[in-house]
Amino acid sequence: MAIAASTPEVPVKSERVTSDREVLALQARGVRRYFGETAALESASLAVRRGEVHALLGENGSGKSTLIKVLSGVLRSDSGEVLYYGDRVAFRSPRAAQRAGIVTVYQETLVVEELSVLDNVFLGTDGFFRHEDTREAEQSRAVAVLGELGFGTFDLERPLWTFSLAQRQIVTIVRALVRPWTLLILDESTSALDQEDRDRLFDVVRAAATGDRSVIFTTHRMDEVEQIADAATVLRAGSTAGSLTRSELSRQHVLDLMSNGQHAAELVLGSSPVRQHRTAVPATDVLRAEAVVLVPEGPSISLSVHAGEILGLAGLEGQGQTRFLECAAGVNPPVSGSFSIARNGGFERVSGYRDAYRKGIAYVPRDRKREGLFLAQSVLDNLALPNFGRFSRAGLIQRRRLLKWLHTYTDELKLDRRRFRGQVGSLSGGNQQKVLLGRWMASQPALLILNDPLRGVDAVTKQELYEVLRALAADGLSLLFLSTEMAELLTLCERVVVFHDSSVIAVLQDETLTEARIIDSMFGRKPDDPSDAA
Amino acid sequence: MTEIVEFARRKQALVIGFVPYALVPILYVIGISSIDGYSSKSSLKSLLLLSSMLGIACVGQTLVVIIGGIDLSIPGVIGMADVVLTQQYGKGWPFWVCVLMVIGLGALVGAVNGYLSRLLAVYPLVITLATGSIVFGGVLAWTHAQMTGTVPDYLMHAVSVVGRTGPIGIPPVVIAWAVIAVLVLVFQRRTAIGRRLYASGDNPAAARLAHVNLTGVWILTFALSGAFAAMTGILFAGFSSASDATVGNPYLFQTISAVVIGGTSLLGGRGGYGRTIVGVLILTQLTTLLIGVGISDNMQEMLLGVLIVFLLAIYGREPALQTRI
Repeated sequence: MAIAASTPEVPVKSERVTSDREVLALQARGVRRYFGETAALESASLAVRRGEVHALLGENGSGKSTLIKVLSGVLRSDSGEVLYYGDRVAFRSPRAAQRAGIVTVYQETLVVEELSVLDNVFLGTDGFFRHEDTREAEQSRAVAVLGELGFGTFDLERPLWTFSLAQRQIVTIVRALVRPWTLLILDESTSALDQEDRDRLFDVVRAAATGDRSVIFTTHRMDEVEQIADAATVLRAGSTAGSLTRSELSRQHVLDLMSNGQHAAELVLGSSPVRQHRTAVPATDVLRAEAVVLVPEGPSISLSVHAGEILGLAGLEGQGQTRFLECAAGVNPPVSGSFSIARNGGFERVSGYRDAYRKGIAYVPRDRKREGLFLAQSVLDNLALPNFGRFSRAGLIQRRRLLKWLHTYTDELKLDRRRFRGQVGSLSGGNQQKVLLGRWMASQPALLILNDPLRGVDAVTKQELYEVLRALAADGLSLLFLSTEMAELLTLCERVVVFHDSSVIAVLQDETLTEARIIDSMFGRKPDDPSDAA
Repeated sequence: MTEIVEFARRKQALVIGFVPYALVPILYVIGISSIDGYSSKSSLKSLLLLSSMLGIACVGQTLVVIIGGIDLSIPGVIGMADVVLTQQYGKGWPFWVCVLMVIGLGALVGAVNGYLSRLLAVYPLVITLATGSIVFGGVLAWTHAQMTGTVPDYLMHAVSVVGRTGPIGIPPVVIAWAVIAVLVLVFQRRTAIGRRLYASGDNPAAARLAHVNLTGVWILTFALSGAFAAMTGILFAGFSSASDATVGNPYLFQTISAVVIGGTSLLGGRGGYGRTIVGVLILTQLTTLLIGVGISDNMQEMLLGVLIVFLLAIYGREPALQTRI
């Protein structure tokens, strides 16, 4: 700004703006959006040219979906600006964005299962279509678009619950395509489609993106990017890491931008105390996964968790790591195979959640509000619930004994004893997480399974919890630690297991444990993959 | 009116924490000033007597609401207990055998309610309504609607206004209610099972992951509700000293009202029996007041309904905690 003001050549600047106006369909600059204290977007920028198919890339939590929600009027940005065909816009609702011609297909397959295909396609257009278009006209429009996508045989009157997930996804795409659009946004809208359907969709999208019409899409699959993108923007931790033109679009380039080319060691040294490398004591197994199969006809997984280690689990959304964790905790049974835990000098098979707990496996679930805490109950109740039985005599809870027991853990977690009587719901997110962790630490498990436990926790608490988790491991407790944040895995874990397509694609440790390697593996690339050369 | 409701919504916690407790003495003062002899000993005793009956019936409803359910079979079970006790005692069965059998039957009906609700994973509204009507219909079929039978004199005495508990000039049922109230309060606050009830109602998914046996909790709680409903039915038998399957019918509305007026949330996990006691005292006083000032039965029903809607409007919807965090 200051530079622009001091520059005498004002006409030049305005000329540049005019040319942007003619070339760009959409431009976002410095978009920032916080959820409480968590930054979803720090400073995201994006420029989409007219007639272009633009890929928006980045790892989980990098802010892609948030940016898309800002562009399509679902969320409002805290600051930054969005120019749409040169005009500054700030859509107040998805409807407003749609009226302007921005049509979005969201990641979640948003359909009304009870309604027919046709009703789902034209959902929310009433008032407009009810007056202007007859049902027959709607029908022929839907049939035309479905035909283009290769689904001409769809029975339009059948309720949507009778269709498969992929078919439902098609319906949400058709819903977007029948509307008058100038900018189509596809937020991971192809995840459920098979190769053939995807190719046809891409053909349609490719053909549609001409003249003034542009497309933005997000994906985790590099092959899709290579197939149809004219340009790409890579987000990293809520900010734009770089923009690439068609000629710059190589896998390596994209992955470098995503991971910032940083080596794990630098990252660790830069942020928090160095990982403690275990001394050369031979590793004893605590938990063994034996030929565990996560999905029908999927590959089998065998691995073991050692005593006193923090074993990291990584992977893109829905690649099987969460399912593996839940199977290990006994929440869900695997398709086949088994888990066994070291106990009484041997290994005992674990079957079911209760059995797992009895044999020393404690599970901290992912969504602490839905699956973890009792928000209207006291902090004390929340801490003590699974252990009330142990501290009761003749049915009555022995408060003093219970408190003494809990204090050993809550002091370690730096939880304020004076707040035990208050509702857990009145604590901050970080302290709530501590309560949840304290509950399961106090159960004295041999193996603690953590499903993304530091999500939505502020930076200070995060550091505290790092220390606590390290101390637990140092005391000989084993931790199975799933995280969606690279930095957490690199800071805490000695070994990281990366999941791809419901199987273990890599077990990284020591010098192979780098951010770049984790990301490579997440995207399904093995280190010796020949496509690496490109 | 809308301003009051709006204000109350904003100060929701304050209102729920204050209004029910304030209403008990306020209603009492209104009673004294508008009805002659409202503060007399006999009037007080009858007030407490009616409160005891309702209060005992409300134990189960409160616990069930805490776990996030509702029990509409209470009137059916009360009627069943009343009829079965008087019939069997009239046939010459020993009284205590009759009592144990009736309470056992009530608990069984409750256990079925709890189990079915969990098994079918539905809100227990329809299930308990159905079992209640099965029990009610079953009793009528069994007796061919010929209600005969008797009750022992000491049972009549226990629920009579002139009844005495040993040297104390208070009907035994009131003392019994006081003892039950203390036990229930200890149960819900100080026992592991009591705390599990709250956890189950607050967040069933989390309770399961915290190793609470939800099905067990539901069976136990509904069984308790059935047992307490049966106890109420026994007391009713003493009260009217004759068989009457319909005797519990007003208790459908009244048990739920007392729980809600006290401030226990129908969403589960919040409130408790202490609040229900307050709700019972409010409801009984209101009924007495309306009768006392000579309002007809139909008008009473109407006014009670209006009042409950008004109170609920003031209490407001529990703000979802998740939205505050």
